[in-house]
Amino acid sequence: MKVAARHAHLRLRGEQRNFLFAPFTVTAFTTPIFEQWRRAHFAQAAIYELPYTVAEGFAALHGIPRETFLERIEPRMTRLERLRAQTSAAKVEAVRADLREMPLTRLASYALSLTLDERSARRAELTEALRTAARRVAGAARGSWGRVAAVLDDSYSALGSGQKRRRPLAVALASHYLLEALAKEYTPLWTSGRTDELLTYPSGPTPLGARIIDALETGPERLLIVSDGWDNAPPGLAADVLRIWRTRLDPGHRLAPGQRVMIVHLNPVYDAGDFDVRRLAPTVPTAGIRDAEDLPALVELARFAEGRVGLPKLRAHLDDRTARFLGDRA
Amino acid sequence: MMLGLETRPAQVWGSVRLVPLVRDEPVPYLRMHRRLYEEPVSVVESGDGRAYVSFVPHAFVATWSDGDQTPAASYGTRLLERDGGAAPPRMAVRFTRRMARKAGRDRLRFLPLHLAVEGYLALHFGGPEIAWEEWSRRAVARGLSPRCEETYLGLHVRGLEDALRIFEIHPGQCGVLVYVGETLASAFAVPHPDDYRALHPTLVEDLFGELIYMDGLLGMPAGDLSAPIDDTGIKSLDDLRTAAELCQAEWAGFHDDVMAGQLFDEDGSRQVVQHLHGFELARFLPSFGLRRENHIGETITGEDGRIAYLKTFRLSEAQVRRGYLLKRLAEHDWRLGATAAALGADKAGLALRLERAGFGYLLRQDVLDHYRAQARKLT
Repeated sequence: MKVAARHAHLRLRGEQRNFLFAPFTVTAFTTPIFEQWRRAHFAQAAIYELPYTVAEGFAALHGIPRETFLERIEPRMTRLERLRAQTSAAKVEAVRADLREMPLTRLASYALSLTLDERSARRAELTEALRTAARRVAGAARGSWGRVAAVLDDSYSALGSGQKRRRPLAVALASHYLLEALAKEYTPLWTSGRTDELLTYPSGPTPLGARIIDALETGPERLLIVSDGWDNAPPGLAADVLRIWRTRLDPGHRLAPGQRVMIVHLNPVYDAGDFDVRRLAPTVPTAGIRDAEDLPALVELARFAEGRVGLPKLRAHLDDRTARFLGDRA
Repeated sequence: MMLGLETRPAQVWGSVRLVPLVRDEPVPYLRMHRRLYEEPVSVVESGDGRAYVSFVPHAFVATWSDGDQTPAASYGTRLLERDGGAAPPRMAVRFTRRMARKAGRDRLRFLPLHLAVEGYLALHFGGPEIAWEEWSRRAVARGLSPRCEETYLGLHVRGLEDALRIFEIHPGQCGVLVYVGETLASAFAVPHPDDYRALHPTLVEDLFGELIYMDGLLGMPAGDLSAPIDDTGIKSLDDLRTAAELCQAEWAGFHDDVMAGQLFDEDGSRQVVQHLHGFELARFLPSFGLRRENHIGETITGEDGRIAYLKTFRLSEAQVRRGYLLKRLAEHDWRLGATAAALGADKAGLALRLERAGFGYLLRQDVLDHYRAQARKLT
């Protein structure tokens, strides 16, 4: 901040200037947060009026025991800060979060961060929380999607990057619970062949092609593929299967596009090589997905791209999503 | 291709193609030596009283806790009684920054570069052991020798490190074939999937020849070898599934016959080194035919002929020429005169040829000087 301000020759207003460049020449700030920050240097009690992340540094400075600190800062913590502190603050009762209130994808990330033993020990609690979060996201659309099959990627590449560990897998797991809420009949198919979604972990190759055949055999109305698109066992089979399905096997392939089985590929991994997400097949729409919460909107966009719904319906859907998003934040 | 090992679809990254080999079930009674694991694994006792045999791969560096605590590299693969007995023959490795990058606390996967390959050749020929010792001491003390350009660490093969990192290990996978720029660089197989998992990251510390290094450097992307399924005969999902399975079988057949067809040389030689409880350790040599694939390697086979352990190294052209000379020398009991006659040359010509091939050090200095002077006089 300081460097940026200096670099851009910003003219800072009011107390910002002193706060950044000469904080200790001032005996008292009038801006409350600046004043709290100044006092936190000297008074232990003052740190509890600061935001959690700022206060954490001061707590270390004053040598306050972690438990005491967490207990007193607890009212200032945000929802996600609370979720982050779940493991490190396991002993502090006050910080114990109600997992059901957490956002779906974050919650999936949290569940995947636990060891397999912990996950199976807390199975009921985690499943309940994930289902509740998914139902909240699904909202009024609950149960309106008919027969849904999903191919979910838990191959080794779902490990993602070192910065955001297991993010692709977390998106897949969150999508699983969301689709369960949205669908009337739902068949999940993990690439590894495992069936216990809570105990999933990234391992093994990605036999997407074979799993897509399995999924199509269940006769779904909608098929969703959540994968990074690196189909490797064998490579290219998924594209082949989707091509042949579209041109030969789809019961509605000679009819209007609206009659065909709807297939959408959602890719949680951004491919830096070509500034896009990796596609599976030209006949199947692919969309990048960041949070599983975006899934309904992306599927609606894909439906629009395929010519299933007209512009007014898409508009209405997006307006609804926007309103809910704004409502969430308010 | 190999009994008990099935070829699975390749995974490609840039110019590197990795072909996994999968076993239905691990080879019983043979595991890697437990000291080679970061955290020793517990081997389940088999009820029928048969003891496990353990093995130590060639050039594997570990701390052998019998007396000296310095890391040492095993010299030649060995079969050992289960975790017991003396540690295998080994060479001390002196760490210098240039030579070794540690893979773990105290392990890495290669000898000072050229030593391992020269060592291979020497092992295969039972060659002049004393010269070898001599050479190794000199090389270990000084680090890389002038001839180190001939072998490269996997780390230096462009793309290989990334390819191994993102490779998705198949369940039950016990081996891998590494292709760089469509050239078979190395084949590797172990008896048990856990051994493979332990060794997979160390493949990047393995040795590769100059050819492989160049192929990596040129970075020609590996081609897409998947043939699209012919959709004309497909009427149902079952047809599609059958077609997909057929495709996979075709790929495995194509790979085994065409891509890896020259791994085992029919005209090559095979030398059994050790027998232990039904397992047989052998080293094989190619025919050293010029301008073709030549792989040297080690195998451990079980009683039923299944390959339990396999490690190969693709020789570069220069190494093939050297191998050819050594082979002819060995055939004639290392007598210069007889070998020269067999090659249709005179002794001086052969001596100079040996020197050009990098074996000058095998000959006594005064002998070599004599031939050099002779050659000068003639020209």
